[in-house]
Amino acid sequence: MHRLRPRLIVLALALVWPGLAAGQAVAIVDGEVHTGTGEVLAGATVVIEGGKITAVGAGVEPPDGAEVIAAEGMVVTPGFIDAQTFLGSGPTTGGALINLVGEAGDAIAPQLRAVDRFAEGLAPLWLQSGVTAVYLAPDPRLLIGGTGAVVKLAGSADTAIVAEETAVAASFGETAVGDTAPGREAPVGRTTRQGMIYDFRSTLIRAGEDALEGQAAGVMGRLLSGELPLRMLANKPDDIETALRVAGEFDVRLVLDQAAGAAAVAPRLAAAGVPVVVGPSIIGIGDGGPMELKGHSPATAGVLHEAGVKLALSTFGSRGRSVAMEAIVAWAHGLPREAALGAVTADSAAILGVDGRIGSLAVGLDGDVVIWDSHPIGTYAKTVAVLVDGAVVFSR
Amino acid sequence: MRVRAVLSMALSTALAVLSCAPGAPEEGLIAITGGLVYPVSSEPIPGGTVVIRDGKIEAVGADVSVPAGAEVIDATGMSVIPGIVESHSHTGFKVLNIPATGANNNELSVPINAHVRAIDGLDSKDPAFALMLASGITTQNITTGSRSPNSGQAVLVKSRGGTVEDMYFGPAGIKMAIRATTPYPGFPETEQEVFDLLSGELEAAQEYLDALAAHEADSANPRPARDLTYEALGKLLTREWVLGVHSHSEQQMRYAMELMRQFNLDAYIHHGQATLELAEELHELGMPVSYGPILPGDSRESGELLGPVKLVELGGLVAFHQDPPDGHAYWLRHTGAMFVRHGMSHADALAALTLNGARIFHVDDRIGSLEAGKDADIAILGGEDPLAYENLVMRVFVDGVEVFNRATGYNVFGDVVPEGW
Repeated sequence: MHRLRPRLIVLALALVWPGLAAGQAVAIVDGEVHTGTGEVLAGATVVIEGGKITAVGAGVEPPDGAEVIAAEGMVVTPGFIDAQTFLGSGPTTGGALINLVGEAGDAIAPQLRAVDRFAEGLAPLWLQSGVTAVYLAPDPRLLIGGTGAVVKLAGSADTAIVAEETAVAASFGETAVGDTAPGREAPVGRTTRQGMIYDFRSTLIRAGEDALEGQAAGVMGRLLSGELPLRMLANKPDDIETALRVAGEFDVRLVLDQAAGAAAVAPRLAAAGVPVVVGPSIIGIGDGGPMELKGHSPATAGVLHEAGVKLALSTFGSRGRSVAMEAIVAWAHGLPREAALGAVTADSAAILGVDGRIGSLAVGLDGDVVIWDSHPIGTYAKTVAVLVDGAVVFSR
Repeated sequence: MRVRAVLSMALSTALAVLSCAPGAPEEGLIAITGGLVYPVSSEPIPGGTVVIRDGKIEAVGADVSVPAGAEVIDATGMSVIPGIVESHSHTGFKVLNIPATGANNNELSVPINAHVRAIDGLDSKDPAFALMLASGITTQNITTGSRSPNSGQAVLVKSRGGTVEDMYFGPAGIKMAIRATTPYPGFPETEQEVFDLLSGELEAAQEYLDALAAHEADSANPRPARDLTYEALGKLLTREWVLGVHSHSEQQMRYAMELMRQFNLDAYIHHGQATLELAEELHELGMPVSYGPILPGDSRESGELLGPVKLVELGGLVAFHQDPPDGHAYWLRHTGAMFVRHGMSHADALAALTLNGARIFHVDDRIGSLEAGKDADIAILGGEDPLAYENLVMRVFVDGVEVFNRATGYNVFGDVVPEGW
């Protein structure tokens, strides 16, 4: 209970601070609150004022004039985050890659910004399933695809763009070497792993020597300085180890993407402190994807967690599937329940570098909250209501 | 992998010897006790016992005693269900994870391929066979593809391991597809033309049957030269075989329904994405739907599932499929809860995974439910709700023989499944 004291003080401040009362105040009362960071508060209240969370805890009184949402018998969580999607890149909500391929004309395109794909209401069905924010990933078929962004699925650009540039994306392995299955575009870069990695090293060396030009120089500089992490898509254990090796050579912060074969090198990832964005786990073979994905299994997330690796989950944009189901499946195959919740909320936000804005129910963070009819990491769970910036954007 | 399989079998045999009632264990005699038994054909039985003898179910019930010499499997806290039936599969036709290359299921030289048999083209080493066991699938309808209006003859196989011949269970009729597809030379280009071609060929098959009958009635009439295409299509006209029609849209499904009506066929729909619009008519016609594929969490979950829910409410027959390896057969069991989330009863969803597929292929006297006399195709799951995602399939039996054991890692298809599936 001692944790509640500071929050109550903030609540008191909020009540007397007119700036926070700009938006309609909302109080979600008597729910089982899962903060996303592992805390579970029974019979607790979440207060949102001016779009921000101003109080969380049991015994918190709704402020005067607040809209009260009764959540007794329900579960309250932060909005879910999908840590790897291609929304806005194609004609479908699933985020087909089709329009991304070859837009750079070059396999090395650090200057491309995924945030430029932002549009309002990118995935209304995801919003209904409790997903309120996503990572917009650059084209994974490029060796260096540009910068990724974190955006919300509700609201205009002013409020919905959480982070314009949050990582530099790169891709080792078959995804970039060239998935030459019929119907796929020809690869735009090298055709071997070793050729690609030579190019990757060369680019980082040139960036370090200030030999790059234009926006690419700026982006790669921020990578080398440690400001932006390197989001590296690698699946085979060998590719993952190559990623570790190369990241170590240039002392860049590494985050692994997709990582189908990561379970085999889990202790090394844990020792190196490299977080992993796992997914998709629910995979239809007709979704395509390289042969190397066959190492993947729904147990991967559980194995990584057990080894001490920090996790986020993603759908990789697969056919509009919700990341909530990825979390359920990861839990069903061995990831502890609250860890599964964390991997789509607080841990995901931390890996994406946006934990100061979203991902947990804590004072000062955005009022992105989901009310569920039961624990969301469960076979039959359904959303009851979804709030973004304190506004109800969906209710059943 | 062989070593591991043999070791695990040796281990389970040793455990069986230790755990059985006094007296020598009897080969092929197993009693699964203490679990929540879902016969599917009747209400669930808490603490039920299922007795297996020589590959068949001997008894199912709450008061069934364990025969002397039986290997006892304690399923307390678990669920016991009939093996799952995958009602639309291409397993063995495509190598897992290489979606478009090596696909062997579409014969595209001519549009009518009733003479082509799925069983002749299967690869029993497809890793999808092993993966499907991890989801409790014991029988599948392996069908030819949907790129030609009539792609061939489907086959039922059981997850017994070994070769395709070892797995053979029975014929599964013929596959047609109402689909304006990429026009290959000589192929119809519109759905109307596809329908006209198919109905024309069925008429021609009827003429072939008539000519045969005329010859048998009076040998003065010439015997028509043997035609494997019309012979196969003729089995549809005599209702010896079932017809599965690939159709997604309302218009495509209407063409499929018209084929059934016009030729008095025993037919069902594959996919059926417009089932909501046509539920009453499908029910009136008595046309079942094999619905799928849809993976858990799919955005289509929101509306499309209401069609099969409605058809079942009306009393119609619905089975599920994942279209493996195009969908992913591992997720077939998960389809059940997906429908429960959208209003189907738990019992109906479980039936759509088991008995209903058996009914479509008229093998419900052999498989699909836990009843005395039926084949001992059984899955044991790690909790009392067999649809819950966290209750993984722990053990699977086909014809009374264990083919999958999650705890020991045994899979009759070998050690080809990645860890964790």
